[in-house]
Amino acid sequence: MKIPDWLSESAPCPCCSIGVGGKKNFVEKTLVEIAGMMERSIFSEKYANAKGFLQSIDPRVKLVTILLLIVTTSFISKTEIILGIYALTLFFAYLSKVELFFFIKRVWLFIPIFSGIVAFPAMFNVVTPGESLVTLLRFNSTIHIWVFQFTEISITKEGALGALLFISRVATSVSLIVLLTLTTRWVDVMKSLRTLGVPQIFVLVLSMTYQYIFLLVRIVQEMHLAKKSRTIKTNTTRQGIKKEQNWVASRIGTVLMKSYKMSDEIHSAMVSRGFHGEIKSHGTFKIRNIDRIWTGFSLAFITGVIWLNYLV
Amino acid sequence: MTIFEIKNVNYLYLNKIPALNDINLSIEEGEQVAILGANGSGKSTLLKLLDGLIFPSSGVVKAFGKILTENILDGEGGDFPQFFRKKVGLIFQNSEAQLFCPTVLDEIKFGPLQLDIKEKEINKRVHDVMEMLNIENLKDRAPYTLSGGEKKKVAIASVLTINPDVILLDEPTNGLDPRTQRWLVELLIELRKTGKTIIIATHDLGIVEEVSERAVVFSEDHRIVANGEAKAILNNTELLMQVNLIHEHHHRHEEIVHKHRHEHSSEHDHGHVL
Repeated sequence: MKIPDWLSESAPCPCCSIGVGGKKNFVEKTLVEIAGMMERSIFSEKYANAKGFLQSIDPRVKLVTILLLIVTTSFISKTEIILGIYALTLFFAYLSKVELFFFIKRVWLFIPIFSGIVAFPAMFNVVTPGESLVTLLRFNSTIHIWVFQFTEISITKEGALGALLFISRVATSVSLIVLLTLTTRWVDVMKSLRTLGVPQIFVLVLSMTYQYIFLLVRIVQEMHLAKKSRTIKTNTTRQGIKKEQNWVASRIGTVLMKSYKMSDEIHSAMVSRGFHGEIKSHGTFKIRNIDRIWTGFSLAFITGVIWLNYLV
Repeated sequence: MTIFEIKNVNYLYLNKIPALNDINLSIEEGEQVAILGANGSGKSTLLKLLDGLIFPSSGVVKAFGKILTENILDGEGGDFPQFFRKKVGLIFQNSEAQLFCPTVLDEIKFGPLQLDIKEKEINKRVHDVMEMLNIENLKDRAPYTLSGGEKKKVAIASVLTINPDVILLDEPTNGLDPRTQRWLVELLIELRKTGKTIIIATHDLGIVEEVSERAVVFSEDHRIVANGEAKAILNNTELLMQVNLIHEHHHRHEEIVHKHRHEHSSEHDHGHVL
């Protein structure tokens, strides 16, 4: 084997012009963030492995009771009762060794973005007429816009209470579901879905998707690192960013092909071990006394709040 | 008893790229066979054909006296699909594709569960295999969090719990550190003693003699160019050079520089073929 001459020459090193550091470009930032977010939110299972109250309850029982509590919350029309349920959620988060600040932050970070936008217009007299609390604007004549008619823009008592009810309902439901996913291993949540009659194939596809997302993110990260190791110019210019965007677009295709090839091989591996369209599995969960007590408590609590809401 | 009989088999990927070229081969019960060949010579394709995962473009693959076709392995074969899957296990080269269950325990249980083995028996097998491979501590871990060596062990465990009579291994030592490679060879030697039929596709010549009696050599044009006693084939340096499994190499031992034929099983682990 003869090595060409140029291969044995070393490139001149303009050491003084070599910059140190520099910002990460958007591809790298996005990939790192996606991988980090998945690690933190789904794969870490830090709280699910803690020895707390909810962690000791059978995942199937936990799933069913928490879903019942969420359904109940959506039927309750008194804000104070919903806030009571929310307080109880916080209490159980505490008992389950979930850091309260983290728990509250995780729920409330998304509330303003999603439900806040929905609830915001409902506070005003334009949408919800009623007793004015704060008047923001007053007009000389009646304004007609589409089906709305108004002479002023103000926040009404009914509107504010309605928005509060809506937000507290969403916050409580989200808290309950976050509490479930924080205190239960994802695998167990998946298995528990079977008890609700979710078809096996659906659960299987869902749980496999979840695992292979991790692998694909890693493949993408490696592809990006491989590219980075061969890239000399930092891409902070406009043209550079455009190039990066083109690279991302073309890599999406590559990843799709890789994942398709992998899915083919996974299917072969399943067939090789006896899979023929239907998955057989053993239930490994056991109902214990703590599960019975929890179920009893949940049912009594649900009955109690419904009674408070409708009969008192 | 003849377990596999392959007659005039050709296989084309995507109907145009040849992967196997006029293959004739038969494998007897209890034999240990190494399928040798350079990268891309068709070893993996052959194993997939033997495991009834793909089917020849032309020619016939017979297993346990029956011709393997898509129909016979897919519902129309009566009890045959289940019989075949219980008898033959394939350990894939890419462990990541083989490990698709959420936890190691689910993974190891998957095979026997699909094959309707009784729960008590499954639990015993799972326990014994995990103990044998020393992976009890990984039981609740998700496969994607394991190291390469651990993944390989779990992949092997997931096939061993089926207790197949025929074990097909695709490049089993690839990507493993020397210690794990050694562990694997020792495991294969032990399995050999149980009378199982073991077929290993590899280009790692260092392990061939220990794990097989017979060797089948594939050329780079996807044909079988030799089929015989492993020892004799390993000594046939001309043949191994011709199929690109070894190469001429200048080598230094302290002060002495000499030239000999050489094979690389991995980056730093190499053996001399004199």
